[in-house]
Amino acid sequence: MKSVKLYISALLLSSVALLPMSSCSDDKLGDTIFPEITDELDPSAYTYKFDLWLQKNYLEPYNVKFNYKLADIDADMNYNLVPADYDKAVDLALLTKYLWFDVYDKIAGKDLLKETSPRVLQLVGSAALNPNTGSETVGLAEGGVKVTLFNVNRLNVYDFQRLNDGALHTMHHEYTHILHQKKNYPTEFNRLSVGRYDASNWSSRGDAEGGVVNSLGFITKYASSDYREDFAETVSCYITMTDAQWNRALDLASRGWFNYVSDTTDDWFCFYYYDNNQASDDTKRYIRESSVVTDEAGNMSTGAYQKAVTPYVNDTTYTIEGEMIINQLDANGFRVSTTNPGLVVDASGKLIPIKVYPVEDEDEIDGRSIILQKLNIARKWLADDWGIDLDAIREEVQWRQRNYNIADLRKQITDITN
Amino acid sequence: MKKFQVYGALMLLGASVMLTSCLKNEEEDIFDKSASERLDDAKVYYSDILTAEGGKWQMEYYANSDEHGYVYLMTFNKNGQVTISGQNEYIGYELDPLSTGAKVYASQTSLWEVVADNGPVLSFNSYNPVFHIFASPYDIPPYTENGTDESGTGHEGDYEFDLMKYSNDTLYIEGKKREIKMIMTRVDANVDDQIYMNYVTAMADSFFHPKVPMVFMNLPNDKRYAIMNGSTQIVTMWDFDKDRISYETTHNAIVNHDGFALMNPYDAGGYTVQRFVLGDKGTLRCVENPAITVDAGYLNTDVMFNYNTVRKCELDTTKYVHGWTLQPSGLTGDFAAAYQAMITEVNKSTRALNEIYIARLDSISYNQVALVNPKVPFLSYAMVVKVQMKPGAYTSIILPLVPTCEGEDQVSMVLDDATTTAGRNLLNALASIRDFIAMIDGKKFTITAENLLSPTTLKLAPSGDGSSTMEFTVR
Repeated sequence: MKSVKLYISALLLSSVALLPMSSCSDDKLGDTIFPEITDELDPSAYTYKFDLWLQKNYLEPYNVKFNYKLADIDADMNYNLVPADYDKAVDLALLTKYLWFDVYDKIAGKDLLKETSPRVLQLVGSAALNPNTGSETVGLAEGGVKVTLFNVNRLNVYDFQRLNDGALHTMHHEYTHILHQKKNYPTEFNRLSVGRYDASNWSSRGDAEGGVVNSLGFITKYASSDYREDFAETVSCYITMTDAQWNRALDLASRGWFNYVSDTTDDWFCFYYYDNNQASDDTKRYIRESSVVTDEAGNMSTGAYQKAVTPYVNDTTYTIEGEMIINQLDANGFRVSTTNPGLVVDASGKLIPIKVYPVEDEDEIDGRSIILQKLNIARKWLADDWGIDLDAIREEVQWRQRNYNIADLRKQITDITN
Repeated sequence: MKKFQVYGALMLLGASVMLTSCLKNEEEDIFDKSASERLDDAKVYYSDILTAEGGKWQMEYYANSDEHGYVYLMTFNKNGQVTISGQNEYIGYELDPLSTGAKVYASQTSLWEVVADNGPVLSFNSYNPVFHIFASPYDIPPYTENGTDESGTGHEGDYEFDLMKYSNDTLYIEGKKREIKMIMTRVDANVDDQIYMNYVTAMADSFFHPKVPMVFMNLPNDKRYAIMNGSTQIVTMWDFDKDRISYETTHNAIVNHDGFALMNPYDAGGYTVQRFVLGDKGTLRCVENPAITVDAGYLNTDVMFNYNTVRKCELDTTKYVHGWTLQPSGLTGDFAAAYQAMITEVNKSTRALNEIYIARLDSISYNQVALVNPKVPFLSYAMVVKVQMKPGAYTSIILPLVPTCEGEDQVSMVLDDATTTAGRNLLNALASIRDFIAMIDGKKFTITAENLLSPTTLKLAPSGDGSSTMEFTVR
């Protein structure tokens, strides 16, 4: 009897369970609630040719959406941003293709960018200035999916240097992030500058040009903020910096630097001299590189003369900044001014050049060597893990940025027929 | 027994689950189409509205709640382009780094689109230097040449707008970030943008006069609300019968092509007001309640000549009307003849008639005030006849003026004797001036003005005799 009761119970339960299921089985999945999305472009639209070009050059070959229009929803609502100027967006789309996508296609093969490029490139007309911190964001890579480029409206497409500063360097930087987010680079890189990163104050570190951070082993100030940014900066700077710029950074990295602080000055110097060439702690003066002159023999001078005072008077005040103007009499006896008369010592011995010395490098950090070690790690990782020849990429980018013709590139769009 | 109770409970539970399920399936759709389809329809609907009838619109744009509004004229093209015309000082700064702040007209073309978000959104999604200046993070003009100390705040304006409603050629929109409600009104497609914007700018510059900073909103119940500083388009308003400091509120506003509007509705003693259109003689008429008007109240002579009223309205009296200058070219009839006689006589005496004006005594220079007869109440008015005695030397005949206001547009003027020795001597020497003064002294005048909102020019005619008039302009 007990088993019968259990049987009835089970029957009741199963019937109760089945009833709602049978009710639900009447449901049908209807048509999609979303309107049909079509890639068909409107030939009457003002942007038709550009949109078609984007479709053929970004969407179809790489599955990349080049978003040149800005909707608030596409950007951080906490920032005050404006859209990109249409004509600038067109130029940047062409240059991005020419100086980034085409380069990687040529050097690393067509599939690389198709697999690794961000899915969305978003242009923003203005800078991303954070009202709370006062900092500026020049680019954003969000999870390898979207790269946002700011300040497009201030681009100068006729000057590749400004183009690099404004956009192209950022693209290579953000793309490097995408690559290392997919495959880790060797942690050996992170150890090279461990303890020297400063996430909070990187923008105000050292001198304005970045020589101090170079000497610490970072290619830029931003590189000194964090090891991941260091990696992206090392790669992107190597690709986009000209030979002169790269060698300059390595040169600055080799120098000694001194932070001279007084009531009126807080700056970094890598040269100094002594008043009247009289070496003492009291007469030691630090000098900017722009005021240093080097003769053929490599002797460094301030480029200015000081009047030799015999005996030397300690409280004599001299002005060394910049080029010294010396009043002289011309052949007719009129007083004239000349600038920077060179290193010729006056025969009378009254005017003497001021010898300049490099600041001793006492931090025991070989900045140049560290930067090159970082570059080698990146170079090997790109080759081994991605099949990318970094030097070939650099060579191709350098050639293209020296030789591109924006008017010719624009024809790709203007020559499209409706 | 317990077992039966358990079975019963289980069956009831099962039945209830089944019923719930069935009820869910029986729910009917409220709309014929899905939300996405309706949003898509809304995009088409608003795009069609924007481009219809030539696609030209006036937008009353507010960047933020602390700044007055700016008028834009926009022409929407079906090809996705929009031509935006504007005229303000910020456009000048944007297009010309050497701008000195002039209100520059400019017209530029960019892109527009109605996009889908939570609802249809009008997006100006490519840069237009005429329009996006208020959304830009940059300071305008920049504090430094390279803008290195930019705060990133700018004007914090919107360039995307939720499309809320369309009615009677008016689009009601709301800034997407700042949530400021604005309106767009359809404009005749044949309108010339520059002429239109020049007109709006001229309106904004002259609509309210900075020297006539207070106007009155006249309510149907005979109450008045003061509106202060209309020329700045950021107005202070309060119930004129109440204490200003306690009751004033500040509102940003806009001068548009047809009149004046507040950014948000204002409750004036139970009457909700926001938009005003130009009516007769420059007065404003409330759109929401046409019985409500705005004028300067200057024909109410109590306002024109009663300092206590002035003091009640304006804490900083130096900003208020200092007086009225007689315009010789505006004299007619007997006044013109008398004035000509003065010129003739004064010129014969190698002097020159410099000007005649009415002003509050506290605005007349200290030396003159100091010589005023002490019996004259302080802060009353004076008529001043200023004569150039020789190059660089002036003597003024200061005639303390006791105006008596009658009704809303009548004033009687009683002029006391000249109260400086030099002035009295001059008056004694020049009969024609005595004659001219005699035409005013003790007479009753009717005051009229062409523009009742910004009455910078007043005409005074002897009551009952319109053949002779005097014209005064605000000093």
